[in-house]
Amino acid sequence: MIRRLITLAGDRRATTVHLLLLFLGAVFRAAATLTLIPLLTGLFSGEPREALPWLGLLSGTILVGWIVEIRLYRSGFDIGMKILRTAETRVLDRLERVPLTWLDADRRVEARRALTSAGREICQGMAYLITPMANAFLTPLLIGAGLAFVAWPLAAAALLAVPLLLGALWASGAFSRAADDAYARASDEVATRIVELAQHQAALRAAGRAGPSGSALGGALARQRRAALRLLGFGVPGHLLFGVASQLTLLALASTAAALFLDGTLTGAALVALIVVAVRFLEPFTTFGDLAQAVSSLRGTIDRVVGVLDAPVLPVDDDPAPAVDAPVLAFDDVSFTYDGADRPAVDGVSFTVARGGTTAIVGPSGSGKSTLLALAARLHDTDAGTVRIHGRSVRSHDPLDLAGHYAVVHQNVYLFEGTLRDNVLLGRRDADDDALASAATRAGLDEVVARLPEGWSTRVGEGGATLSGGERQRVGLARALLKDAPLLLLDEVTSALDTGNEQAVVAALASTARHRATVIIAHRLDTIIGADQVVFLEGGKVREIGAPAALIDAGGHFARYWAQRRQASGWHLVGVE
Amino acid sequence: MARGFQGAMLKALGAGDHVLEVLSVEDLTRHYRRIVFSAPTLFDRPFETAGYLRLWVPDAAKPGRHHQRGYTIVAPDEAAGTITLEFAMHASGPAVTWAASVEPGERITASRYGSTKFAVGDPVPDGYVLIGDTAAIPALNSVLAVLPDDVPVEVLLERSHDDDVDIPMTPHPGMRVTWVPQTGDPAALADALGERDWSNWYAWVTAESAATRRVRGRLKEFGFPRSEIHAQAYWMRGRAMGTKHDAETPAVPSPRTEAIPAETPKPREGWRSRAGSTLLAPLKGRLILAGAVQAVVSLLQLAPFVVLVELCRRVLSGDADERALRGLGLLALVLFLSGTVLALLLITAMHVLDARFGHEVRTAIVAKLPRLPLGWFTERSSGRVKQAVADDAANLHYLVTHAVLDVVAAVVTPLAVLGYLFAVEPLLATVLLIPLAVFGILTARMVSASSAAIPAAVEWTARAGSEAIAYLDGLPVVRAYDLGPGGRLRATLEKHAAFLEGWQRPLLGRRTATDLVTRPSTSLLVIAAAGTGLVIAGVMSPVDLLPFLLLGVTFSTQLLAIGYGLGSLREAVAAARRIGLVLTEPELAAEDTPGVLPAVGGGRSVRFASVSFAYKPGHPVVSDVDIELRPGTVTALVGPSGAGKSTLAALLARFHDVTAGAITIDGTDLRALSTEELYATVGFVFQQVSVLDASVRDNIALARPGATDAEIEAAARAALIHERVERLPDGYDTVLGRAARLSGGEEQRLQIARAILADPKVLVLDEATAFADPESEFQVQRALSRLIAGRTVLVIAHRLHTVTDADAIAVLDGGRLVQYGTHPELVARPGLYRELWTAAGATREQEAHA
Repeated sequence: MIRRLITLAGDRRATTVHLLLLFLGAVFRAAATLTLIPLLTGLFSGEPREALPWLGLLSGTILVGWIVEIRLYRSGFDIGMKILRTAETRVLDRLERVPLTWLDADRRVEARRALTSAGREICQGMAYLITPMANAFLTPLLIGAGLAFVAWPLAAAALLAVPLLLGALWASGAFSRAADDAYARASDEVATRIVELAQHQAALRAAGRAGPSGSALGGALARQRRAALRLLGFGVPGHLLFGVASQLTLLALASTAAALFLDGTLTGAALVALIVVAVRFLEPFTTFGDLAQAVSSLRGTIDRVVGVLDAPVLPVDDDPAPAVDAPVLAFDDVSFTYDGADRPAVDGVSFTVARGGTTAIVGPSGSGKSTLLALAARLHDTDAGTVRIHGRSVRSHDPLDLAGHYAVVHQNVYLFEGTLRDNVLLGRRDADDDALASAATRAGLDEVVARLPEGWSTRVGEGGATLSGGERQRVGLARALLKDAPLLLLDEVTSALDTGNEQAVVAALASTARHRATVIIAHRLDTIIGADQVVFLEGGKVREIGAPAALIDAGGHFARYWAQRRQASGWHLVGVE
Repeated sequence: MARGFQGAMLKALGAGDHVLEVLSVEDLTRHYRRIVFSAPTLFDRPFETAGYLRLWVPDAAKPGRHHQRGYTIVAPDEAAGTITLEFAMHASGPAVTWAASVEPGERITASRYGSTKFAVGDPVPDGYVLIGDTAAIPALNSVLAVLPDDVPVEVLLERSHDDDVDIPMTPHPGMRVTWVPQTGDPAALADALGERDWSNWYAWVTAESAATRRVRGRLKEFGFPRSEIHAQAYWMRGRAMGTKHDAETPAVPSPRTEAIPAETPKPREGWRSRAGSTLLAPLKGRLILAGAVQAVVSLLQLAPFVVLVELCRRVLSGDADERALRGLGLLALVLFLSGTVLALLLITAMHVLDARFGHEVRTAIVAKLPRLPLGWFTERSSGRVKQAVADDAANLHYLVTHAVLDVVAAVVTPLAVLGYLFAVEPLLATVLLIPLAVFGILTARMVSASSAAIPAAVEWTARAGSEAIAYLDGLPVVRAYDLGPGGRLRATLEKHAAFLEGWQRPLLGRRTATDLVTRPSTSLLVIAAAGTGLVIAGVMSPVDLLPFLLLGVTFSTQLLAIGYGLGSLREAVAAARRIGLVLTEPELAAEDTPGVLPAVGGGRSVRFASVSFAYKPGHPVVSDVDIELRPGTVTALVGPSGAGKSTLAALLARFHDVTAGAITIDGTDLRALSTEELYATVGFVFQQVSVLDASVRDNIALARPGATDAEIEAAARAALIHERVERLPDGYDTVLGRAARLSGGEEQRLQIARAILADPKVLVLDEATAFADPESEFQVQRALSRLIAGRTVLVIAHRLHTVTDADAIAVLDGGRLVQYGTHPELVARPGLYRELWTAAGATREQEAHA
């Protein structure tokens, strides 16, 4: 763990100094404790004034120890802040290059925590965990070693006790963790079943099966109860082990000292002093026990950061020979299967999109339309075949460079917390007001801006929550148009069916589409019919490609789809046997 | 400036002084003065609702002396740097005397340290009763400003002058203000409070001290739990130097009046906030017992140290032969063993208790779910169930198996040590407390120094968190627009780091100091130095130093550990409350002897008779609706969004019970039917589909587990899903969920197949189902057409043109039925329907063009 921290901090000198200070702090602590031996022997010898010089030494040791501690705090804080900054930057660097499929729901949570809380936790850990832990470990060892100069059997007993106590601590923690894990396992099943019961309550009740009977719940409840009882096996040792071990150690040390006294090796005063030191020797272990949980959570935090830093990245290949007259976007026999899926999402797809053309991707849900868009933006790498932009494989572009080739508008446009202007300016940070206004007009955003009381300065809320779906799409479109990339990837909204001016937007898009290539996942019939080329997908395969009118005339798959869609829009709710 | 002990304490704790300059003085009534101050330095941290300021008011009689008086901060204006304070001028006292003669330009000092904070409860109480006198009005006004509009508010105020009623109050739609004349009788306010079902109300009482006490007593009689009363005396009669606001009026006994009238006493529902303690009630006795046993265990664990002290005593006094020492060793061993055995038994008992209690809680939740109205099961309440059975249950588990024992141990051990040490040598024991006092002062100063930045810190954390979520959710967008060193999140994280550093670095010294002062080595130094001194001075014998060296060194650390345990205890109590809240949710009324519908061959008829429904009393969503659905007909509900269409339809599927009126099927009230009978008759198809983690076959046959394969396949064919099922890896045996997913439209058709197989006579349908997935709209529509044939159908219509052929159309507006008829009839006459039809025309034309 320490090694990983040092790697994260990156500053070898600072960490070496920190480790030295840690050791020095422990030396002073141990020295203070050992000073008690002459001090107390003096006090109990009948001539208490003899203790005074030793009191002076004790005070000096503790005060110097404080100075070391103060330095230690400062250096811990510096290193912590450094880790905080480097960890965040490096995590971001990595996230910009991972394949998007790597970032599943669980990893997303991990990555978020690595970005937001990990740095702070590590920074705090430096001050409140690493230092006390190191002290708790080093101080007893040094005290034990120091005792050898006074009474070696006692030193031997103390040093023998160290692994015993640490072992008890470790076992105690392991048992507690096992108890927690067992509890979580036992409860998770029941919890999942109960949540299921709640989520499906309407369907279950409609089916007359709302109660616990007839579901797997009864069994899960009984199993949970039995498992909770079995926790005893872990819980009791987890709770008692360390306490028992430390009390036994105390008894053993006291008996050793008493035996040394009885055989005359030690004076009465020395015996008493040594018992006090023995108790002091045991004290740091308790700290260890108190911190164990926090340490394991810090280890989790560090693992989380390292987990992201070790994530796979999309490789950058060499592909230096772009054809002069290459189409803007070309899919060449492209296949892609999601992890764990039983069939490819995209299967042997080939088509090209030329400058000035609009290609509509059409097909039933689940036919692979969105995957095509993701592959064009290289959010994943293809399993077979090549996606080319301007004749060069997307795999040969550096991510930053690739981003310059395309603009994208997703169905659920993601907006960032900030103003409307900020969000559109993401398209081109240095755009002037005229460019901004022009993009807004073309995207139909101008009337939204005019309607909002704060206009361009309206805050869009988290994820753009203060805007409607249609409004968000227009912001996304304005952002894409402002970017003015040679390739525009669009996923048309399905939800905002009643917004009439969507059409105006489509028209505006078409009129300015001449100098770029547009690929649109089209749901609306008028968008489909207005495209130059339709790529009709089914089950990840291209069924038909061609001009929409020609395909309708041909009477194939697309024509059938077209007819159904036409019919659906005129549907009346009437019972039909 | 002489401010006495209080002032010194505040200063020690780090409360800074602020200088307020009077800008203007205005009398709102003859006895109510509003003073606006310029106070730019006050805005270093945000103001709490009903928060107050400690004003240092000069004593007119004794120059140089100051009195502390609390005044609620009104209308803080950060841009202008001004605040307002309001003074009730019907009393004598230093603040009133000062306010009476103050002129613009004068200055006064004030501190901000500790304050009242008002927050609306979660869940929101059923009502708020606010009680006080004119001095309470500024605080009441800020409370009123944050109360939700739909909550009833009773305000009960005592007036000392007739024109007090003219003091402006924050308007609130649910507020009723009652004034009672001030007579000097401290019971006047309490007497004005009538008995009724105050269940789930919250009381805010800020009046004169004796009156506050009386009101609190009366509220307790009504059953108010302590947590639902905020009672704070604002001033004390007969004490001009009282603690807060000042007033003095002669006492005149008053006749008993009930100004907030009593209502016919209903059986009391009780308070939701009690839900937690009710849940824990059966455990309470045993937890207390466990705590007591743990206290004994903790003492036994200290015993070896006492034995050690005794051993040392004997050694030093010279009467320590081998036998004596062996005896002591044996004693220590016996104590140790009995402590361990007792601890073992205790933990075993707690685990057994935990297993049983955990099981009971889970069983209770499972038994509760089927009794709740279906409408309760929203995404939010599913979250509550999840929270209750996962995190909250784990918290309770921790409470029973660990937290109680840990807290008792953490409290008993240092207290026993302290008692022991005081018994041995009180002087040295007192010295041992010095580091703790220093720690207290340092911590308070640090908190006060860092608290200014806490709101900013919270905001930074929230901002970094939400931007990180946005970054990860929007990674495809980020890749296209926001890569590299100029990225937004990078900038935010860097600014966040800079903020953290700028905030924490200056505190580093103090933080180090607070930590060092409680270190065992510090205690060791204190004990060794003071002890050696005392021994040399002959005040204490060296042997008495031993208990301090053995037990006193870690005393500070142990004492501070109490705080951690208490945190988890509080969390467990909150968890118990959340679970309790789920368990006390109102249930559907259940009939003891459920009715049975007469068997009929054809369809069933449904009647909505004067149906009203409200989620919250006084806010009807559906009002007095009468509709009849004739057997085998389609009735469409149309109207603007928010008109109550979905709610009315959901009532027929008994998602909620009507608040007034009745829904009957063939003359029998819905509520009289058993759940099985009801849902065998009424089916529903809504946009939200429940797909169970089960095979396709089981999913379709949910309502008829005994259905044959042929029947299931027939239903699937009718719902146009059969072919898709055949294409699944294991056909009808495919388990839906992670392995095989259906698209939105396919799930809809699965749901329709389920309904076809269940074959209910009455069907509630959301038309949005038909166009939720544009790509399979056509199939879903055809499946729906087959499903509704021959049934009595109530459909929520979003697109008017789909229901033009319906047998009847019911037009709703604001929860009321405004028009009823067929499409041709409704289009022919002016009204809401025709307006909606015309407005929809434009869209329809566009679609027709396509």
